[in-house]
Amino acid sequence: MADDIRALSDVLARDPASLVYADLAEALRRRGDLDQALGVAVRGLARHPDHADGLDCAGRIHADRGDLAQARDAWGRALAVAPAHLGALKGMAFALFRAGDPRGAEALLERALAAEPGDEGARRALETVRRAGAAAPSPAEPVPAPAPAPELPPAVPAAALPGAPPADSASERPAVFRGMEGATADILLFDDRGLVVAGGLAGPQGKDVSELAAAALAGVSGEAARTAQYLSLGPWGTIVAEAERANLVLAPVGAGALLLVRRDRSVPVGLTVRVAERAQGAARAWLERQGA
Amino acid sequence: MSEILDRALDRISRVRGVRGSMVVAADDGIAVAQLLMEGVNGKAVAALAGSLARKMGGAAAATGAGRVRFLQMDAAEGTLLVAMATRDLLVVALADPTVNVGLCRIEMMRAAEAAPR
Amino acid sequence: MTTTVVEVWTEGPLVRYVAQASARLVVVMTPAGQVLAQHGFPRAVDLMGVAAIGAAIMASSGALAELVGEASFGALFHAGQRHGIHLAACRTPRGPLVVLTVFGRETSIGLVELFFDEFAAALDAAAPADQARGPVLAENFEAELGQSLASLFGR
Repeated sequence: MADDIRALSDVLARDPASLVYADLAEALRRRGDLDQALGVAVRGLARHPDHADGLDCAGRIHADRGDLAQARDAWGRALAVAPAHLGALKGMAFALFRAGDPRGAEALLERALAAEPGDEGARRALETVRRAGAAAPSPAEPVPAPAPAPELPPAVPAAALPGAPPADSASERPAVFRGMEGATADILLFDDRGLVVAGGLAGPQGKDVSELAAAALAGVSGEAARTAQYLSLGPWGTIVAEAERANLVLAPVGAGALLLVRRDRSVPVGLTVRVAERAQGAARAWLERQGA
Repeated sequence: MSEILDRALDRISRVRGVRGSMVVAADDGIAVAQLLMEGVNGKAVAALAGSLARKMGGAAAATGAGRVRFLQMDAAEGTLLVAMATRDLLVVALADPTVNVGLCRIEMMRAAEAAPR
Repeated sequence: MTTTVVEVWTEGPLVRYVAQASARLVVVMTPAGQVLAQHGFPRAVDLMGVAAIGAAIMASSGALAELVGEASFGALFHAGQRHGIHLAACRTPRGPLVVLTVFGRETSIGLVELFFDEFAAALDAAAPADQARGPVLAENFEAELGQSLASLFGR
């Protein structure tokens, strides 16, 4: 292993922009040099912010350091870039399971197996999640062995990745959607870099998933813009997604800001679109008052 | 199989305003069957619809909404509709902005159910 | 992630193609395997190996096409568990070129093919027409390959 680390360090020294930073960070992590591993990963991600493998590696390092919130943020960003990334799916599943969301973990492990049906680690982890309930998860590769995790605060704290501002809980964010149903749990205002601005999104267990969702949805917005341009459809206006448990409406709000409204499946899609239009108006007015 | 898909695409294409319809391999972004009007770039529709569906699927999972079944992107000069047939196949329609989305959606979901598993 | 070129006119189209297709590795080379531009390779030895193998695959594919009565085959695509490879030829005023693209699960073969068509057109438009590449002779091949690798890796 020392030879590998030396060889990888040489490559990175010759070419600081090389993607081998992820391999080097992983090798350092496996050796237990977590501070060094994190330093390598952070510097590499500063050059390659959308590198899914690097983000996955950062997630593992944070998890090894006992910082599950940071780990979740990194894996969330990895999944925003590469929704079928096996390592990030398994990592996020581990983080959700540790946070008391076995259903969320199960869903992600099912996705992992759909992407890579032969992955034994994911299969074992899924069996464990389904069987155990409250039991600790078995460490599926490359997720590290369970270590005592700190009590998760209600809010998701600041990301370690360069450029990200500190995160706030939904209750601390501007009350842009006050008076609307789901103002802090089902309506999210964020920017096109994937950073939360206002509102909030609650996950299945009531935990705030705003940051994760914002990161993933910013990627959708970019893809929508590219699709509309290439197909000569003009600027895109809304994306409506009907999913198993909820309907989602995603819409731009002026330059650089985006809005997501989520409603239960029992709410007609047309009504959800109307709610989104109202939320768009509220968001626009608020942004104008901020001078944005 | 191709007859079933061709019939399904024909039904979708009969909805007024639809410029083209196709069945796309989700992971590859390549059409496996298509019925397009002149001037519609099928390769681009298949690749970009596949990519948009994949990204939206990841985002929906991140929000706790579960697996996406139907996706609609409205733009100033057109609408892109995607129905998830199986984990591997998508039914895609490209249409005018004035298309009857409800009707198109019904035909697309029928096509999605008819798609081979 | 580094993009380096031996022939300057390839740089603009290559940078655009890499961004559009989300390619991890790209090599632009002559049918003989001489590298004109690359993206993503950290080591010369990796690039040399890939270029040689890519050129050989294209040559074999051409021979197979002749045997079955085709003028040529289009793109070649290999799907792996975590990566895919796209290998295709394109024509330019400087002669035919071969492009090998390696991509991951964050994109798709559909997107790679879509943007490869644009890349090929951009290379055709950008290539200077007044200096047609001469045939690469066997005795010059290794020297030219070595020269292009030296340019690409700054040695």
